[in-house]
Amino acid sequence: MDYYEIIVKGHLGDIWEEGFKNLDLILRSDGDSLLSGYVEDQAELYGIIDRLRDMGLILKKVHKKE
Amino acid sequence: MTIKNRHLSVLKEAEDEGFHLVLISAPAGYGKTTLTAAWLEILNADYLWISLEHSDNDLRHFCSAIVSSFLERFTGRGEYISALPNTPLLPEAEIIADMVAFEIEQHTNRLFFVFDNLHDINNPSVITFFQRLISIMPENLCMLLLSRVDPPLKLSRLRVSESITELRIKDLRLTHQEIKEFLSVKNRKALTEKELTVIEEKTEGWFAGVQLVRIALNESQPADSDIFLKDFETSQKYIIEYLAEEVLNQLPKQLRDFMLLSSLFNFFTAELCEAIFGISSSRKMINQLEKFNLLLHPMEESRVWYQYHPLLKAYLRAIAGERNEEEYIKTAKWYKKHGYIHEALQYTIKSGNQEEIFSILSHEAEKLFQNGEYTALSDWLVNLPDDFYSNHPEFYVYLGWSMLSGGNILQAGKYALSLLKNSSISFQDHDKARIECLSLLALLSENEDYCLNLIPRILEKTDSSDLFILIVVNILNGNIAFRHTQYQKAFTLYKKALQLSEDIANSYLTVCIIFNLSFVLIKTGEWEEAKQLCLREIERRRGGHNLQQPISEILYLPLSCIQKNYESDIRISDLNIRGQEACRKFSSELLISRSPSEIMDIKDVPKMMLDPLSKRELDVLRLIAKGYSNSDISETLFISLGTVKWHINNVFSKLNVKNRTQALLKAEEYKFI
Repeated sequence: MDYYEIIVKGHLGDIWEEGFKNLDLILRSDGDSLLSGYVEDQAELYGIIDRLRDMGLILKKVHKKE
Repeated sequence: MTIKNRHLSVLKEAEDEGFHLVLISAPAGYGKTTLTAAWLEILNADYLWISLEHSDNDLRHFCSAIVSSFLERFTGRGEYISALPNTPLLPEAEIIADMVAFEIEQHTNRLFFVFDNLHDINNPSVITFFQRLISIMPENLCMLLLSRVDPPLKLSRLRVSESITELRIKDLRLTHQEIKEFLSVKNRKALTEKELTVIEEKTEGWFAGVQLVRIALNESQPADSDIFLKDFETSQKYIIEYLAEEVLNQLPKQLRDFMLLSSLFNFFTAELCEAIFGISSSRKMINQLEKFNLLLHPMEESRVWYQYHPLLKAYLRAIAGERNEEEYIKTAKWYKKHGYIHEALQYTIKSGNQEEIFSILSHEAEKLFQNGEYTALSDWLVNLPDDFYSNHPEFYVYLGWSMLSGGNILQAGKYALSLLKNSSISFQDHDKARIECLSLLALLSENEDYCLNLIPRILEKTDSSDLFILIVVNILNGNIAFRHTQYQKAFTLYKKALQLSEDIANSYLTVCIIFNLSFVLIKTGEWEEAKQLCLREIERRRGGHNLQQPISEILYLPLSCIQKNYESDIRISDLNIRGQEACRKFSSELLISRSPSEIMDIKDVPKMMLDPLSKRELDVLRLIAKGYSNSDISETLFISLGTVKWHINNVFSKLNVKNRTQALLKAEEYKFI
């Protein structure tokens, strides 16, 4: 289990939170969205990133917190 | 949608390059599919369109998709590949690619293969298929690869020699002028430059975004559209969410509700919507939605099946939220009734209802197991609820065998062992036998004694009807005997396996047994009998057009060891190379060995290449050896100059040389000429 922070461009509405179940969604004032939370393993992480990719979102940062 | 001039010129350019490979790599919503469809219409070409899905990561499933598409589209063709999906042990990906290439070459016209959604494919075998087909590249084939990400294919060689046409986001983005044209609708006030700029900046030329803008503008009153554009400019919202919300808010409630409900399905018909949600006006609503081309489109010409644009579907599902179990089960039952087992299973598993899952899965899982569809099996098993296994321990068997899909025999074997050691699971005897058989595959090279002790116990517990397991055990037992030079024992075991294999049509197993048997005969000095055995089997596996079933080529190896020509125009070295190649491709624990030097003392065994030359490449190389120029080769082989250069590039690259002289030297070393 690792703690990850993912930043994408654009504000995501609450409706998307269900699809990213373990992650918290915070809208930043610079227009980006921050998804953060514990991820079971790399497979889950890549699954999340693939879903963001399929939504056409621009990935700005993927950060693993130590 | 009219095709843009700049895309037309790309098309022209691609044609000049010989038009063999086109890669369109861009995220969802950039119009890859629309563009490709428009191209195909302009070219008026013969084409095959394969929309890939996650389940195509199973090589057999992938193969079926291609074959059934081909047979459907080109009636009267496909003889060579039609048997593929049903062969019990599928050949390796490279062989399949060779066979498909051969089939393509039988087609008189230029043939376009479109592979859509390539990003869903990550299985190494399927990727190998693509890599191989690209490297063979039949003269009349053009491959169009559509993907949301750059595929894991080695394309650098092709990029350097400029043999590939690539379209990326920068090529697919709408320009200011294109947005203007797309959004200008008669009877509506034209958009101002400022408004267009806003749209251009917000969408960044993303076609999906621009399409949604158009719908939003068309549906709203002029005053509303002014407000819409102003808000759009300042909004920071994720653009698809913003625009989809806008569009949906403008639709009548009935239509909106229909969209939310029907987003449950990946693809649907009016009948399905009626059956599950009781909406009798489903057809009418589909017709209305179809007018908004982005939202909904038919999946084929007959306009029965529909699906939403993926971006819109994601939005609709997010809005719709949780579904109830009953909806999933009803949907699953509908799919099952109409013969879509795979979808039925998906929805059953989504429902989480264990009883339903078990009732549908137990029958299907056994089928997949017998057919060796391990990837499909693994896909389903991975989604099962945790306590499912403890309630139905026979599924541990399927889970173990499904690990073979990753090609990791050792891992599967270790898992099998851990299952056997786990005292909390109680297996029925025949299930235990299957797990033990799995462990054999992994342990044979490590711990032969253990395997020798295990084998009789497995045989005791196996149903006499579980022929597959019985045959495999006998072959492995025979291999152990062979390695201990107990040739008589090996002979008896292989004969037993051969007899059993007559009742199941599994070419792979039969040919493996013949392969092993022939080496036993060679070892005991029965050269003539070995030769006859191989020849008979090879003869059996020769189909129409004198085509040799690929697996039977492993028998060239023992034949070449017997050192007698059986066909006057194939030299021993060719036979041996082909035999070795085939052994490498069909290699498994079931073969005694893939290399003759391990079995025999063979002097002068020709060197093997890691990345062997294709038949075409060999043809070109032999003509080079005769001093032919590129245009001579082009004339002799009836291929274009572009294609000649393509093959020569590949030959140089595979031989790791820079010019013809070096290539010829290498070719002599490898005894190609």
